[in-house]
Amino acid sequence: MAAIEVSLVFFLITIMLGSIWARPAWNTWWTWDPRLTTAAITELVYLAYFMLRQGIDDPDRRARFGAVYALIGGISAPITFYAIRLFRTIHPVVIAGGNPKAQGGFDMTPDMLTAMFVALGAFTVIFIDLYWNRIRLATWKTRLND
Amino acid sequence: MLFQEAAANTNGYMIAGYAVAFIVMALYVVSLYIRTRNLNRDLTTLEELNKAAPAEIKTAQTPKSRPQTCNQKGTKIAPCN
Repeated sequence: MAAIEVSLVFFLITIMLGSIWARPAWNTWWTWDPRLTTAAITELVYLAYFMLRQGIDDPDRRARFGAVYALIGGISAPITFYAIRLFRTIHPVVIAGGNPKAQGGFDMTPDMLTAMFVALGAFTVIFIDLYWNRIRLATWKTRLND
Repeated sequence: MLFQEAAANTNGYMIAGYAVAFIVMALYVVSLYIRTRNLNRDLTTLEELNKAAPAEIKTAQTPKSRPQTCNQKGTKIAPCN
């Protein structure tokens, strides 16, 4: 649950930043492209996860139903990743999309790769920190309920 | 060179992107802080109640009224101390 909550926040940031990128690139904030649509569905699937948990009173049933839903909902993540490879889309394939120097190519240049790995490292550290704090909060809550 | 278009200035979008990322993360950190603070407050209240009325709690847990099991599920375990 802690990981899903933090992921929900990070995925919301991803969608919002994608929208900000799309404005100068595509001249629109949002379009129903397969990548954007599947990303929005993933966000909604995990938002529904918390609604499901809120709706069940029994802690054991809540944990079991939540775990099953989270596993099934996890399918939406690879679907989002492969959406731009499986369907016709205007979204660029930036990872393993082909030769970056080729005309019309969108693969990342070495400078872009460096920036991406630095950002990946930084956000991984932030994720671990938030995740650890969320687990600590859940532990305290369980102790208080007991 | 003469007819080449100048690159679009997208600095505003970059700043907006950083602002969105920091604001959303800051809001989440604030929500974590508030939830932690509320939990601590509840814990302190419970501890104060426990300290304030230990006699009432002890009388409520007399051997007759004390249940045979300590957990809520009803499975038999060692008697409560």
